[in-house]
Parts: sequence; structure tokens; C-alpha cells
Amino acid sequence: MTEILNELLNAGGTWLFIILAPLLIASFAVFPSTRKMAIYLTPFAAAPALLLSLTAPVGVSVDLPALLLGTRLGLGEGMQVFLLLTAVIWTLAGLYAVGAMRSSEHRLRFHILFLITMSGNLGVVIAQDMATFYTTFAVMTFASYGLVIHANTSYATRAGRVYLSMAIVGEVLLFASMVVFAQLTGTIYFDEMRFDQIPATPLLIGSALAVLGLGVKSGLLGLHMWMPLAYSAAPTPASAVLSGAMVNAGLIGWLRLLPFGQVEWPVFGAIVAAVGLAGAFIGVAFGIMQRHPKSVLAYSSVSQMGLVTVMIGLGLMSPNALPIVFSAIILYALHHALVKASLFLVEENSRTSSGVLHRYLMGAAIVLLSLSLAGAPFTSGMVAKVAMKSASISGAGDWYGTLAVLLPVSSLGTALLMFRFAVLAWPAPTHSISVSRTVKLATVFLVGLASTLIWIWPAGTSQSVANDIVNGKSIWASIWPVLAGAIIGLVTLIVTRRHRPRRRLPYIPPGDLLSWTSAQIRKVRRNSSQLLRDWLESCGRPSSEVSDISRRVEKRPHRVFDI
Amino acid sequence: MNSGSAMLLVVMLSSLVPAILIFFLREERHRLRSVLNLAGAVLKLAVVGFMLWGVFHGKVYELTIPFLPGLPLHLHADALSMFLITLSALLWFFTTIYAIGYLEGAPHRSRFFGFFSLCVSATVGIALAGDLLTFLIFYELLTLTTYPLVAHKGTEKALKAAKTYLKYTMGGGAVLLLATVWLYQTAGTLEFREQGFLSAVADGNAATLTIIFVLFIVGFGVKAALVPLHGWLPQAMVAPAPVSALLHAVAVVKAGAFGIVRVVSDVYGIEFSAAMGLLTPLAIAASITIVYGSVRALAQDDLKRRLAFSTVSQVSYITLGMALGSPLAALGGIVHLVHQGVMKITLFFCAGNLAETAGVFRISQMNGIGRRMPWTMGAFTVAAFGMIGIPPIAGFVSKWHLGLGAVSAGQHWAILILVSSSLLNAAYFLPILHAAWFKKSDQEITDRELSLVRRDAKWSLLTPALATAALSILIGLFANAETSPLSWANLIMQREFGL
Repeated sequence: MTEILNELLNAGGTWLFIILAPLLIASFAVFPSTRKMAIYLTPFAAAPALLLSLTAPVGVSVDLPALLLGTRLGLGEGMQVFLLLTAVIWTLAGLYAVGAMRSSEHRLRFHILFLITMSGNLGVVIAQDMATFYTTFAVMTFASYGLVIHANTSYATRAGRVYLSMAIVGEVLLFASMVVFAQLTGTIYFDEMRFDQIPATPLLIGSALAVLGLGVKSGLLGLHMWMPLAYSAAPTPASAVLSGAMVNAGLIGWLRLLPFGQVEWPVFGAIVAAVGLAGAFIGVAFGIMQRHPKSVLAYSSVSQMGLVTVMIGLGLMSPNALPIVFSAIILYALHHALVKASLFLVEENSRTSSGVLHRYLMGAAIVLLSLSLAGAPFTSGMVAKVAMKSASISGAGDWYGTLAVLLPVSSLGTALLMFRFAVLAWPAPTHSISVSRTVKLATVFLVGLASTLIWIWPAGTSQSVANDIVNGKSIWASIWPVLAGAIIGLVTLIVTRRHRPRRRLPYIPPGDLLSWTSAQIRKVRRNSSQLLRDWLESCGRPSSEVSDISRRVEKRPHRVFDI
Repeated sequence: MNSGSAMLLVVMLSSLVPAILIFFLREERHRLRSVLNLAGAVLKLAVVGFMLWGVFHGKVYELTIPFLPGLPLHLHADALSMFLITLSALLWFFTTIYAIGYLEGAPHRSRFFGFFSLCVSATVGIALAGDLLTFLIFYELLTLTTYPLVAHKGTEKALKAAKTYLKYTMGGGAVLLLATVWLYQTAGTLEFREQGFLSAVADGNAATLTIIFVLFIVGFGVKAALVPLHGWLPQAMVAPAPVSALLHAVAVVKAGAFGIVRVVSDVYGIEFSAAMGLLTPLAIAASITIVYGSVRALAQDDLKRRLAFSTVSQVSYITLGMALGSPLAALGGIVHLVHQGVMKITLFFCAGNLAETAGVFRISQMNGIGRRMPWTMGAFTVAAFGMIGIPPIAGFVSKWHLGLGAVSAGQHWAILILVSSSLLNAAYFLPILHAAWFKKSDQEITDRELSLVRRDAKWSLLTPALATAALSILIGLFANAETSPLSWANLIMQREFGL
């Protein structure tokens, strides 16, 4: 039995099947008679990936020499978690989509693109060489454009255009960095890359290009503007996979490409960490000023990925801290992805709630997930944050003091941000919309996994963290930011409710910097050529739909409170 | 005459004989004409396949025909020739099917197909030419045989475009003749040789060789559409779609690029020309062309015009690869000869389908066309993504090696050119795809009406487009396979650099 299993794991076809399965199901859409199957089989497309992530040992890889420039697939170090995570989120989002998209005009198109994106995303996780990584990354990027613009409103179209423009810039930067790495190291295989013989400057340039190119996907500050737009414009299942699964594609790229453990870059690492830290705080600040709950979540992603970026910076600074930094990154990514994807599903569910019980459940889920994201005791967030803290201790010396202060402050920020989200997304009775059973099932499953998975899996990693948690210090350290956040939030809420006409928070439209640039662009536009004009307009114009969306949010019936 | 030279003759004659026969056919003998054409194309494919096997195993095919005293016509099949011949044989086959469908019911078909086959014969001659003189003769023949094709429609616009084409290419031809004669004077031989033959006569001739090099580049630059010699190409797109397809993918533009490859690698030699400092200016000219062509393409609303400017840009990848002076870059350039051909012919097939089936000529008319013609637009999408350089489509493989070559030659700036070209390609292709797939059609067509009109192009137009689109995926996806263009380009480079 085990022999058969081993043989399967060492067969190229098995690994290729992970990538091909979604495409195969998508191809059912070609024939009218099998069209429905493409839709209803969507939740099963990630099943091979799911199975393999649970059975394959780390370090397995297979070569498919004829493919691309010599494809190698398999599970690299730490990638098991990502494969499981990606497969779970795609499976449940697929299940959700079956019900949620059923009355959509272009339902079939959505599913086809959903499946192609899934194929790319799974490929990114198991790719062991640059060409395969780049290929699957590109497939994912371009297919997901169709998911973002699915609603076909002018808001969605603009979001899609911003997303695609930035993604393409990311793609070409990634291309440049890979070419540099491949030529310097003489190999395209991640596990064969050695950096010790390489002159420092080109290596640094290649790494900087990789940080920027992949940073677009992981919402690096300054390259994050597409996130709030795309997350809020996309249909909910697409937002869930964007925020849960695809957000980690950039991170995976960083882990594979950057010369961790083989370089010591105090300055470059510090810059990366600083940008990450800035993202963590600015994400919170901008997020609080959002009026659409999905945009709040998107800015929260910018903030959370900022923290992960800090870890990446630490890893580049000090090779010694590497193992613990890596496990912190992986735990954090696991926690954030599951919680964030669940939040998107719950957010939509709370808007379509019909029954009282459903509403209470969704309210409870919002509270639970928000607490988790803020790192309250006994949530997955706490595990992740404890891991991150211990990583920062073992990281570079100067940074420990800074991080010891700033990490709890960022938790406080997250708590505030999630309070804002809870207020915006709080379930209110609406006219009854029948919610499909698959939608409910997917939501419940994902919320359940988000709150439990990190405790049971990956087994070894959370053990040490659990020991940490048992002594009371960690508990207090994780309680006070949440408490403080909740108190500040409540006070603000009460104060603003007392003053009528209501004082409102200042508003920053989703895509922050872009809206500012659009004013500048309008100036430029007046005296620029038609060509330039059209291009800039398509990226930078604050669409009337931006305000449409916020108006719609404000008009939600029977609002309980408003900040 | 041994079997090797017979093989060369068959390859030449498989398109030449049908051409001559077709000229004598009455206009309405459609079936016989099609049979002749297709039989020639299939025969050529078969022989080319056989020769590929032979060349791979080190066999040399040669044929000498007496021509001028002391200067015979010399045909010679090396790895590089086989590359272009395979491309032309394959794409001629697809284009013939396409043209038969495209011109159904059109006048002057005998004339068209006659010149069409002649044009292919000339391309084969260019590929097989073993020395510069032979090359030049077929190169000029190509000019003459494509003129009637560009002018085929006989409209004022077509005649004007054909005239412009002739002016440009004849001018280029004259410059080439001058360069060739001068080179013969200087070096005493014109025979292509791996790693070039001029390093032997370099002493004291540096200035002369530099000038001759410039003349060659200017001469070939006309057909290769190097800026500022590209003016004829966007005009020539008035030609019927199959002509544009062949013109942009295999015949004319490729002949120019192939000429540059031959001169750089087999006359001067890459290392020698790099040592003489000839390559950097060439690389700059290619880079300017790459960026300029893409920028101009952005502003075109006419689909074929946009594609034409895209060709201007893409063909210069080949020149850039030769000019970067590293084996890897040259590999990228040479493999792009085939990759660009397969992708670009797909785009022109699709443009023809759109025009023929839906009457769509402009990009602004393409809203929602993906719904009516999903297969055509599917093929178009694949080829457009390939042009941008997105894997797993062929264009990525070229770009990847060009990029590697740029780094290994220490010419990092070239990556910037590749990157900006990708961005520009995305900027002019993606809006087309968005309009076709996601925008609502301007005419309100219901599903019912849609099922009444013919949805997509007829099979004779659709099959070639789908085949070449599939091919551009396959040669990219299986780039590392032993039978891929990349592996063959590797073989060329091994022999070229004596590695």
C-alpha cells in the first residue's frame, strides 16, 4: 500500500494533475451537454491538491524535463502548509461560488475563470523552478482579472484595470529578477540556487526587483492600491480567494527566490522591514476611514501582510534567525489567510441574512474572527503573534526593542480596525433573500477551520507556541491591545452617536494614493496627448461608482450604529 | 547528383512547379488549383521533415548550379537554413488552406496563388542560400514576387502601398548589392561559414568592413523593418489577410531578419563583430525599433495596422538577440524567428476572420465579439498573450533567453527594453481582449439571433488559426523537449559557436 503511494508521489503526472484538474473541469464548459458539470465540479477541482498536501512528505520533487524550460514540481520546505491552505480555501470558495453565483448573468464565465485561476494558484505553490512558477503565476494573475471585473459595473471595470496594470508591472519586474537570478546562479531550480559565489550588487538588484515584483501581489505598501479596489469589486468567492489564497502567492515567491540564510543584508533587510512596518500602520489608518466593509478588510490585509513583510526583512537581516522567522511567517500566513477568507464570506452572509438565528450566528462569527485577527487569547491570531514575537527576539538586535513596542501597538490598531469592520458589517434584518445551502455550508466550514486548524496542524510548530501560551504572560500581552481597541472603539461610537448631526470619520476612497494622483493626472491631462490621456484616465479616474458603493452602504436599512 | 542535392531540388520545386502550373490554369479550375497547392505544401513538409532528421544527424545537403563565371548559385542546408525552411513549409501549408477559404469567390485567384507559391519558393531559396550572392538573388526575387500580392486588390490604396513597398525594397536591394560587391572585392569570397570568414581579412580593413556592415544592416533593415526604414510595412497591410499573414510571419520581414542573422553570424561572426564594436550600435537600433513600434501600435485603431506596428517591434527582438553578443541572447533571437512567426500568423489569421466573418476591421468595433466568435478570439488571445511574453506561450521562451543573454553579456539595459516592450505589448493587446471578451456588444444581439447567424468563421479559416495558436502554446509549453524549436536553436548555436 505504502509502496503504491510512494510510487504515485514520485510520478510527475500526479503532481501535474494538481495543476491540470481544475483546467480539465473548466474544459467541460466547451460542450453544451457537460456545461453544468464545469459549475458543479468546481468545489472538487482542488481535491487532488488537498489529498497530496496531507499525504506527501516535504522535500518530494519530480522532474518533467520536456515541459517549459525543464519543469520541477513538488513540495519545498514549508510549502505543505501553503498547499493545504490554498486547496482548502479554493475548495470552500468554490463551494460558496456554486450557490452564490447561481443568479449571476455570466455564471459559466465566472466558473471557467475561477478554475483557471485556481490552477495557476496551485501551480505557484508546487512549482520548484522559475519558469513553472512564472507561468502559473501569470495564469493566476490574468485569469483573476475576469473575476475582479465580473460585476461589469464601472467601479468593477476600474478596479480591474488598476489591478491588471499593477499586476503587469509586477509581472515584468518579477521576470527581470528571475532572469538575473537564473543567470547569476546558473540554475532555474529553487532548491539548487546558491548565492555564495555571486557578486553582491547584481544579487541585491535581483532581490530588490523580486521584492517589488512580488510585492504587488502581497500588497506591499506603495503597491497595494489595487487591493481595496479589487477586493471590494470582486464577487465574494473571488474576494475570498484573492485575500486568502492568492495573497500568499507573492509571499511564496519571496520565500523561494530571495537568498535567505546565505546573505546578511542589514540595510536592505531593514528597508524591507521598515516598509512592512509602515504598511502595517498605514493599512490600519486608511482602513478605518473606509465605508465599505470589504475595503476595510482589504486594508487590513495590507496591514497584516505588512507584518509578514517585517518578518521577511528580519530574515534578510540575520541568517541565524532564519528557522524561527520562517515558521513565524508560515504560521502567520496560515492564520491570516483562513481568517481573512472567512471574513469575506461572513460579510456577505450577514448582508443576506433572513433569519434571526442566522443573524446571531453571523454576528458571533464576525466577533470571533475579528478577535482572532487582533490576536485575542486562544485564537489563531494569538498563536501567530506569539510566533512572530519570538521571531523578532531572535532577529536583529536593534530591531527587537522597536518591534517589542510596535507589535502590540499594531495589534491595537488591528483591534480598532476590526471594530470598525464589525460596525460596518453587523448583520441587520433585511428583506429575505434565500441563501443557498452550499453558501451556508462553505461559510460554516471555513469559519470552523479558521478558528481550529492552527491548533491541530502543523503539529510540531504550534507545540512550542502552545507552551509559551500556557504561562500567563502571553495571555496578558495578547489581551490588552484587544481590550484597549474595543474600549476606544466603543467610546468613539458613543461620542459620535451623541453628536447630531453625526460627526463622521474622514473618508479616504479605496485605492488611496490613486485618488490623489487622479487629481494630478487631471492637471496633466489637459495638456497631454490623447494617447497618454486615455491610458491615465483608465487607471486613475475616481469613478462615480466609488461614491455609489459608499452610498449603498450608508443606506443599509435599520443600521444599529454608525461611527 | 546525389540524393542530398535531389532533396534540395525537391524542396525548391515543390512550390515552384505548382506556381508555374497555376499560372496556366483557367480561373475557374478551383479544385485542381487547390490540389496542386496542397500537394506541393504536403510534399514540401514531408521532404523538410526528412531533411531535418538528416541535418540533425550531421548530414550536409549541398547543390551547386552554374550561374556567373566563378560564382555559381550555391544551395546549402545547415541547421539555421532548416529552421527557416521548416517554419516556411509549415506556415505555407496552413496559409494555403486559409487562402483557399479566404479567397473563395474572389477574382484573379490564379494570379494570386501563382505568385503566392513563387514567394514561398523565393523564401526557401533565401533559407538555403549558401553564399551571399545566392542569398541576394532570392532576396530580390522575393521582392518581385510579393509586389503583385500586395497590389492584389487593385484598389488605389493597394497600388500605392505596393509602389511604396517596391521603392523601399528596391532601394534596400541596391544597397545590398553594393555591399556584396564591395565585400567580394575585399574578402574574395562570399560563402557563409560558421563563425564568419572576415576575421581573416580584418587587418587593415577595419574601416571598410565597418562601412560594409552598416550597408548590410541598412539593406536588410528595410525588410526587417528597422526604424526608420519600416515605413512600407504598415501600408502593406492593405494586402489580403493571407498575404499579410505570410508577409509578417515568414516571408518578407523574416527574410530581412534572417539576412541580419546570416551577416552577423556567418559573414562577420558574432565574436568578430563584437570585437569590432559593430554590435552595440545595432543593439541600440534594434531597441529603438522595439520601443518605437510598440508605441506607434498603441495609437492604431485599425486592427491590422496595430498588428503591423507590432511586427515592427517584435521582429527586432531577433536583431537585438544577435546584437547583444552572447550565445544565450543569440539563441533567444534565433528562436524568436520561429516563435514570432507562429504567433504573428495566428494574429493575422484571426484579423482576417474578423474582417471576413463579422466585417470587423477596427478595434473600436470589437466590443463583445468574443461572444460571437469564441474560437477566433480564443486563438487571438493565445497569440496576443504570447506576444506580451506570458508563459507558457512561445514568446516567453524567446524573451527569457534574450534576458539571460543580456545579463550574461553584462548588458543589463537590454532587460529594460524587454520589460518596457512587454508593458507596451500589454497596453496595446489587453484592451483588445477586454473589449472582445468583457464588453457588451454595440449591437444588441440576443442568443436567439446569435444562433441564427453563423457564429464563428468557416472551418477553412478557423482551422489554420486554431492550429497555429495551438502550436504557439505547444512550442512554448514543451520548449525543453528534444523536438522543440528551442532545442533546434540550441543545435544551431552549438554549431555556430563551435561549443
